[in-house]
Amino acid sequence: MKTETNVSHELRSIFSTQLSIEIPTLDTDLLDTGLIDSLTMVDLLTHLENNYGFTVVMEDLDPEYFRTLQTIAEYVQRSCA
Amino acid sequence: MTHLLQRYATSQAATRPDAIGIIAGKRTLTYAQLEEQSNQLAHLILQSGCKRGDRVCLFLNKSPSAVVAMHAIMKADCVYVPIDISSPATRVQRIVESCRPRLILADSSAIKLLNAVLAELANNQRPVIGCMDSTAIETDECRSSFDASDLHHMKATAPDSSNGPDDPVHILFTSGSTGTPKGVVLSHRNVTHFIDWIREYLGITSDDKLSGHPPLHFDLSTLDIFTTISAGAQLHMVPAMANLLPNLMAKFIRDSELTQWLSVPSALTLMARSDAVGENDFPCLRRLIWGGETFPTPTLIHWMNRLPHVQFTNLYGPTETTIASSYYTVPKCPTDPLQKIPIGQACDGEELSVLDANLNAVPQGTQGDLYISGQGLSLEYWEDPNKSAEVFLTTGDTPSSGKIYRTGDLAYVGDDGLFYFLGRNDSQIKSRGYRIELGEIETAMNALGTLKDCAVIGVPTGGYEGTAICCAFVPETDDGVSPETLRSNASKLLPSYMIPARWLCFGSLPKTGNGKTDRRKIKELFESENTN
Repeated sequence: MKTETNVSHELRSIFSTQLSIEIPTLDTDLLDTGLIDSLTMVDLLTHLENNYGFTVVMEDLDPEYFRTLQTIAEYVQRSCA
Repeated sequence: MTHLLQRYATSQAATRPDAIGIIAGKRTLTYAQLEEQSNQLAHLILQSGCKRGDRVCLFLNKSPSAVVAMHAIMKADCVYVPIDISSPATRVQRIVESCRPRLILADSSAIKLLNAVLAELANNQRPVIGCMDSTAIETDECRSSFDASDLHHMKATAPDSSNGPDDPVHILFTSGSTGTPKGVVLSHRNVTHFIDWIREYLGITSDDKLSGHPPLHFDLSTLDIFTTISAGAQLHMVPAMANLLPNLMAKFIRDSELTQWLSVPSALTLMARSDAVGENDFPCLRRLIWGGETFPTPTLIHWMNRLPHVQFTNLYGPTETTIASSYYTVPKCPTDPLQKIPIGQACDGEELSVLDANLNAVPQGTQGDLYISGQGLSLEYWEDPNKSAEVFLTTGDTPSSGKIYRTGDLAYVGDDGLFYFLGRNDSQIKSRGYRIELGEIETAMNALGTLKDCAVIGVPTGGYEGTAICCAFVPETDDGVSPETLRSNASKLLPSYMIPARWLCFGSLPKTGNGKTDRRKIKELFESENTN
C-alpha cells in the first residue's frame, strides 16, 4: 500500500515529466497560483486515469480535490480503493 | 439617451431600482445600489485628484464591485483600464507604465501583484490607491487612500460630468508582437452603438439572465455587462471554479436558469468532450453566443443536437472595432462536419470589405485581407501613432470617417454573400479565446537568457485548445535546459494562456534556403509529433 506522501511525490513527477509543470512544494496551492487551469485539468485527469488505472467520474469532481499535491493524492487513493 | 455608457445604469435605477442586476454567488447588486455606490465612488475618485481623461486601472476580478468601479470611473469623466490580475507583475508593470494611471482601484486579491508593480515604479509615477474592500490596504509598498467604508460619507448623486460620446471610455490592452502589450482606445459612442444594436438583435429584455464569463480585460466582457444593464436584465457571474470543471459549469447554467449564454469555443469543446451536458439540457436557455475564435463544426453539431431548443449565434470582430463587427445565427444544424461556418454579415453600422494589397475589392469567392470600417472603429492605439498608422488606414471610398482597420485576417465572400474567415496573415493566433502575438512569447523566451535561439509556432489542433502554442528551442549551453524549467521561468513574464504547451529541443533550428528560421518545417515536426 502506497502512502499518501509516496503518491504526492509520484504526482509531482507526473506534473514535471508529463505536463512540464514544476510544483515547488507538496502544499503549494495549485489553484490560486494558476498552476492548474481548465486546460491542464483535462490533461491531468487523463494522466491520472492512465497512471493509476481508474476512471474519473466527472459528476463527482470537486475543485478542492485539486488544491494541492496532497489533496490530489487523497483523491487518487479514494478512487483506487 | 445620450451615448454615454454609464447612462444605462442610471436609467434602470430610475425605472426599476429594486431589480437585481448582478449576481455573483451570494452577492447581489440592485440597479439602485449600482447607481448610488458608483455615484459615491465617483466623488471619491475626484477627491483623490483625478481629472477628466485620467486613466484609472482596475486590479479587480470580475465582480459586482468591479462593475460599480467601472461606472464610477466613467461618472468621474475618467477612462478605465482593466488589468489581468493573473498576469505576471512584469507584464502588468509595462501596461501601468504605458497608461500612467492617476489611480488604481484594487481589492485584497491583488495585493501581491500591486506590491510587485508599485515596487518597480519611480516615486513620481506612483498612483493613488483606492481599495474596494471595507478594510484599507496597508503594506510596505502601498497604503490605500480610501476604501469601501468611506463610500457612505459621500454624496449619493452623480458628480457633474462634461464628457461627450466621442471621449474615451476604456483602454483594453492586447498582446503586442514586439513584446509590449498595445492599448486599444474605445469611445463611449463606439461601445453604446454596439450595445444598442446587439440588445435589439438578440431580443434581450429585463426577463433575461445572461452569463458573465470572460474576464474584464477581454472585450467580450463589455458585451455581457452592458447588454445586461442596458436591458435591465440579470448578469450571473460565472464562479472561477466552474471554469475548471465542465460538470460545475453545466450545473451553474442549470441552477442560474440562464437564458443567454456567452462562451468561447475552447470552453464549449471542453464541455462537449467531457459529456457534461445532457439531451435537452438547460430548458431555460434561449441562445448560445460564441466569439473569439473558430468553433469546430463537429463540436457545433454536438451542441445543436444536445440543445435543439437553443439558437446558436457566432460573433466576430477584433477589439479594435469594438466587441463584434459581424454576426451569424446558424439556421439549422449542419449535416456535414466539414461544412464551414461563416462569420456572417456586418452588424448594423459596420462595413466589412475583402481587399487586395492595393485596397481594391477582390471578386466574390476570392481570398483577400479583411478590413472593417464603421461605428465601432477604435480611436487609436494608446500613445502609439506608428502602430496606429500601420493598421488604421485612410481611404477615399469608405463611409463614415473614411478610416478602415486592417484586421490581419484573411477572408472571402461566399456565394451566399456571407463572409468566411480563413486565418491570419501574420503570427497572431487565437488560443482558448485569447488573442496572442507569437512574437510576444518569443521576446519573453529570448529574455530568459538560457536559450541561444527559439521559434514559437501555433499548431491548430482541431481540439479543445484551438491552437496549441509550441516552442522549438536551442539551449544556450551544452548542459541543456528542461521544458519544465523554461515553463516555470516563462511564467514570470507571461500569463498562463501564453505559455507554450509543447516543446522540442534542437541543436540548431531548421533554416530555409535564405537562412531564415524554417517555421513551416518546425510546424510539421510538431504536427507529426502530435500524431505519433
